[in-house]
Amino acid sequence: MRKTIDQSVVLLCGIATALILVMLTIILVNIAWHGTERLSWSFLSEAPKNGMTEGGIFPAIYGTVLLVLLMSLAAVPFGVVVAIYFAEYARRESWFYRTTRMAVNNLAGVPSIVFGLFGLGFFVLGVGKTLDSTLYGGKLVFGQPAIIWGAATMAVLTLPVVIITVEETLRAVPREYREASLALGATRLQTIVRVVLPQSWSGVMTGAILAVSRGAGEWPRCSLQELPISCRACRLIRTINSCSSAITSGCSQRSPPMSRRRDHCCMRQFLFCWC
Amino acid sequence: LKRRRLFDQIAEALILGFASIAIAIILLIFVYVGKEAVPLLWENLDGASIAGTFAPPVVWQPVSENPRYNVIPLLLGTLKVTLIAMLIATPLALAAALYTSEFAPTRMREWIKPAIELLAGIPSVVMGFFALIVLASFLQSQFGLEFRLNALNAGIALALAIIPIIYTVSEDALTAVPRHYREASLALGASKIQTAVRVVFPAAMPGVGAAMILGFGRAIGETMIVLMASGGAAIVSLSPFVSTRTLSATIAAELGEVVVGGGHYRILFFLGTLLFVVTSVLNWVGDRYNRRMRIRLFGAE
Repeated sequence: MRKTIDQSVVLLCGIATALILVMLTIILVNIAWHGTERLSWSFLSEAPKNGMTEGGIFPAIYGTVLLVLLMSLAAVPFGVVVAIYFAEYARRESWFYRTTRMAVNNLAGVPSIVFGLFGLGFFVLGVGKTLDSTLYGGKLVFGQPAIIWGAATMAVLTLPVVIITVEETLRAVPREYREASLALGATRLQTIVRVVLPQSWSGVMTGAILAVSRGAGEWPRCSLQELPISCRACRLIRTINSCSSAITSGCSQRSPPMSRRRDHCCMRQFLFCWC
Repeated sequence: LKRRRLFDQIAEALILGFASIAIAIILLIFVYVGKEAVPLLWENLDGASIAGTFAPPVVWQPVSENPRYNVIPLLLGTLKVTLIAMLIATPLALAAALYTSEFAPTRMREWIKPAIELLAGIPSVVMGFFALIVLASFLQSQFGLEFRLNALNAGIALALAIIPIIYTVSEDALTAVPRHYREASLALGASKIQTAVRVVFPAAMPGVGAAMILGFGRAIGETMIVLMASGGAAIVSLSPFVSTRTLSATIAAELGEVVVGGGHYRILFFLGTLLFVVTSVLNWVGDRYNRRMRIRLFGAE
């Protein structure tokens, strides 16, 4: 009797695990199947035509890549510097460290829509409008949704993740390494740059990859709108379209060719987030 | 040597400077999201005020001649979808965590965990897309539902998104239970399953609680999935088969079309503040639980 109960517990747990894995497989196979079916070079390299019912998704890919690049340029160095400060300089018992650390931890779990609101309120309407009124006499240049504000907001969104990952790896570097380096006469900064950081490259890379994968799938509320243009959008104060916003905006339209486009978009997103 | 020391000092000052800029921006989030909603406290902008968000009639009609901003339909929708997601995700994720940490052979354990974490790597837009195109049609044809996009559909997709979180955190908690707990129980003659269910699971309970709280927090704030899969009608109904609108989806859908500084705009920031506060509290509580477990098991943090 007890044996049957025992076995059924194990069986139930195993079934639950299998169910999760099956659902994962269904999603992956379904999207990869429909995606590869229609994947072609022209789809990846062309701009959309005929009101987004034909053509390719190049602007969206371009937007995503540019956005993620700008975001990593901002988030990774800042994140590493803050992590160095937390791990090497700040005293762990200090009031300042504990509060900021708690805030960073907390922000890692705050929904991205809240960051979108922050980006609109702070970067677009705060920083952007101030720049406009001081530099351009109120002409609308920076005070509108644009790629730099999108990238800046996403950098803030990913910053907590980078900080937490890098700080953990920095702390994992054994104390003896630092002491040996200091005992040889190296300064504190030299110790950090030459001894501690090389030891924790993997952590820095993990942080960067986490940031990129979160950023690529994110939906930059304050930079998107209007499917535009092509490569000419090199100016950073243009609005752009990213893969994720293309999927979202595509969903409001229902024409059959559109659904094909969306499948493709998904495919792209997938490839991107996996590598 | 003197020059080097000077160089070091400058570099350290720079580190400090950059770190404080980053920290300041992070702290500014708390200020900037709330700031836009604050005028609502004493002003009444085009029928929008804090008191009005709970006053009857219970309808969310932000764009009409006579706008009504009652958030109860949105709160109800959020709770409904989140609850469905939790009801599906919690048993599955906990059972899977128990299986991987206690029963599965070591070699299986090594690939099950990364596979389930792969689920976390699927961007929420893709998950929403899947729910919108594939899952919704499947559910409608299987159960003969009247509305294709409904709370159940969004709830299932949301469950898929939070399963990896609940699973990872609770699996970590279960494996963190010291070996001698298990050995003591086995030595007393308990079976492996009894040990898992009666000893290991209760010992890891605070960690499991933290996992559920963190999953709940993520589900409440998730935007893309519910925006795409829930249908988006602000209806007051307890049925899981009708179209539903949530807080986060409302912000995402309407923020692009509001007048900056107007009543509707401020109400959306108020909703954002609400989400922010709720998720912050949940994160904080989850963190406390996790720490309490460590203290209980190891005597220190």
